[in-house]
Amino acid sequence: MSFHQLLFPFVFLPVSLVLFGVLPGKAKKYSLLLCSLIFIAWGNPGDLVLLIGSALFNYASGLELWQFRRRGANRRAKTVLVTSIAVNLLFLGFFKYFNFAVENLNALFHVSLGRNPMTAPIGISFFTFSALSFLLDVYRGVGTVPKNPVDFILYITFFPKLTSGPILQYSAWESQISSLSLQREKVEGGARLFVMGLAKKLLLANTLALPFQAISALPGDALTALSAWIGALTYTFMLYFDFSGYSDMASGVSLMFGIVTPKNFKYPYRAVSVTDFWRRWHVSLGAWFRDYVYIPLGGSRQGNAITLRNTMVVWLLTGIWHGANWTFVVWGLLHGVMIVIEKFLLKKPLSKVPNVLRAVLTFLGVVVGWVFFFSPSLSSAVQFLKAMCFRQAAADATAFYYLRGSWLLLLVAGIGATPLLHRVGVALRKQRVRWYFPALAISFCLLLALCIAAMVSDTYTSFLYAQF
Amino acid sequence: MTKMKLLNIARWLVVLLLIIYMIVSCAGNRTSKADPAAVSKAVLSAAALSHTQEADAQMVKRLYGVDPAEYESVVLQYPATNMDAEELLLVKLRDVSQQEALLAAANARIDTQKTSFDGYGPAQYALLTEHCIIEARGNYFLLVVSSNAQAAKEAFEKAL
Repeated sequence: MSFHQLLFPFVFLPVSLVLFGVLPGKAKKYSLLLCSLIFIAWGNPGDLVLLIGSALFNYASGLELWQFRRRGANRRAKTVLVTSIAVNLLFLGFFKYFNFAVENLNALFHVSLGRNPMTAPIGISFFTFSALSFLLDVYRGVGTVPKNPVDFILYITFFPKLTSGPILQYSAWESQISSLSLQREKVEGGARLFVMGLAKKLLLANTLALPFQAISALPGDALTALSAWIGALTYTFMLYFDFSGYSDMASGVSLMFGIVTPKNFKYPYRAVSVTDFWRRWHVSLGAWFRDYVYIPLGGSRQGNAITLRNTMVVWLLTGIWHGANWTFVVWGLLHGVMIVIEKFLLKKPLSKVPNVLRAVLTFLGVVVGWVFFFSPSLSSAVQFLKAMCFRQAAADATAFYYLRGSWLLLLVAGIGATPLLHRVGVALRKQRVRWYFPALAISFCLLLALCIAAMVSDTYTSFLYAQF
Repeated sequence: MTKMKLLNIARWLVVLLLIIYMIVSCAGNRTSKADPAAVSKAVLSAAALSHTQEADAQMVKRLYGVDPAEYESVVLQYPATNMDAEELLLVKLRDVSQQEALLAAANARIDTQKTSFDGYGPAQYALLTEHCIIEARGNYFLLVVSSNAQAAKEAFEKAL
C-alpha cells in the first residue's frame, strides 16, 4: 500500500484515524500498532515476521544494555551493544548487499555463488537505522527502555515513517509516545502537508518522470548535450519532488496522529555549498550520520587529518546506504570530495564568491552527482556525463522536441523548489489580506481534486526512495 | 537462572528463529538460471494469445510505469485494440528485491483495466477477474490475462 494510491487516503487513513480517535488513552497506541501491522502485511505478510522479530531482538538487547549500564557493568554493556549492532548490520547486509557482493565475487573469481532470493522487508534501511538509534541512545543514556514492548515495536513499525522515513531518532519518539491524542489543529496541519506531498508526487514528480524516462531510454551514443542536460535536470527536480513529497505525506500522516517528525527538506537546491545542501536534503539521514557516526568518530575537533577521514567515512557510508551499486559508492564519495574541497582547499576563495554564484556552482555539482545516482552502471554514468560535457553532438531534433515539451515544466519545478510561494503566502498572511484564507482553502481543494484525478487515471509509480 | 541470562537467551533465540525463517523462505523462492527467451517461448506458446501485440520499452513504461532497462529481460504482449483485454508480461528480474515494485505495478495495471471494462465490457471484465494470474517466482515474474492463463502459468513453472 502506498500513500498515493486511492486505498490509502480514502480507506486506510480515515479508518485508522477514526479508530485512533474513538479509542481511549492507552488503547490509541494499540490501534496505531494494529494499523501499522496491517500496512506492513498488505504488501508482504512475510515482512511482519522479519520486522517483529527484529524489533523483539532489539528490545531485548536494549533491556539488557540498560540493565548492565544501571549496574555499572560497562564492558558487558559494550559487548551487548556491539553484538546487537552486528546482528542488525548482518540482517541489513543479507537483504541489501548480499547479492551485490555475490555478483562482484562471481565476476572477480569466475565462480557462480548463489544469490539471496528473498525480497527485502519494507523499509529495511529505515527501520534498521531506527533500531540502531534506540540501542545507541540507550547505551549513551540519552534514551530509556520502555516498560511495554509495544511502545518499542510501534517505534519500529509506525506506518507513516516506515517505508522511507523521515528517520525519527529514538529520543525524539520517546518524548512523544506517552501522550498521544487526536487534536484538531494537528489533523488539519497534517492533512495540509499530506495534500502538498501528494501534489508534489502526482502532479510534479510523475510529470517530470515522463521526459526523464524517455531520455534515459535513449541509447548512450544517441544522447546530445541538450538532451542529456534536460534528462539530468528533469531527474534533479523529479527526485526532489518525489522524495520531499513522500516526506511531506509521511510527516503529515504522523502529525495527524500527534507525532511530530523532523523536517526532511529545506529547499535544498538553493544551498550555497554542498555542506549547506546536506543540511537541507534528507535532513534526518544527515542528522543520523552526524550523531551516530561522525561525532563518535571524533567529528571535526581532532585535527584536519581526522576530520578528513571522518568526512570520507560518513560519505562512503551514505553512498552505500542508498544502494548496493558502485554508482552509489561513487556518488557518496563525490559528495565527500566536494565537501572536503570546499572546507579545506577552497574555503577562502569561495568565501569571496557571491552567494548566487555559489548556489549555481553547488547546484551544478549536485546535478552531476545525480547522474551517478540514476545511472544503472558507472560506464553509462560516464557516457551520460560525456554527453553533458559536449563530448557528443550538441543538439538534434529529438533534443529540441524534449526541450519544447519540458521547458515550462522545468520552469514551474524550478520555482516550486524555491521558497518563493511560501514567502508570498507568509507576506499575505502578515498583511491580513481578507481573501487569503478562502483562497488557500480553494487552492488546497483544487490540488486535492487534481491529485484524485491523477490517482484514478495513473498507472502505478513507486516512490524513488522506497528502493533504498 | 538470573533474569539477565534469560534475557540474553531470549534475544539469541529470536535471532535463531529469524535465521530459520529466512532459510525456509530462501528455499521456497529460489532464483532460476533459465534463459528468458526459452521461458518466454514456452509461456507464449501455452498462452496462445490472439489479440495482442508486442510492446516496446516506451509502452512498458506507459502501461506499467516501470523502466525495462532496470530488468534483465521484459516481454510484454498488450491488447491489440481498446476492446481487448488479453495481456502477458514476463520479466526476468535483476534482483528479487524488484518483485515488490513489479507486483504493485501489475496489480495497479489490472485495476486500471478492470475500471476500464467494468460495466461495458462484460467478457473482458470476466477475463480480467477470472482468468488473470500474477505469479512471482524468485527472479521471474509473470502476469497473464488469457483464457489459457492456467496453462501459461504451468508452462512458466515448468520452464524455470
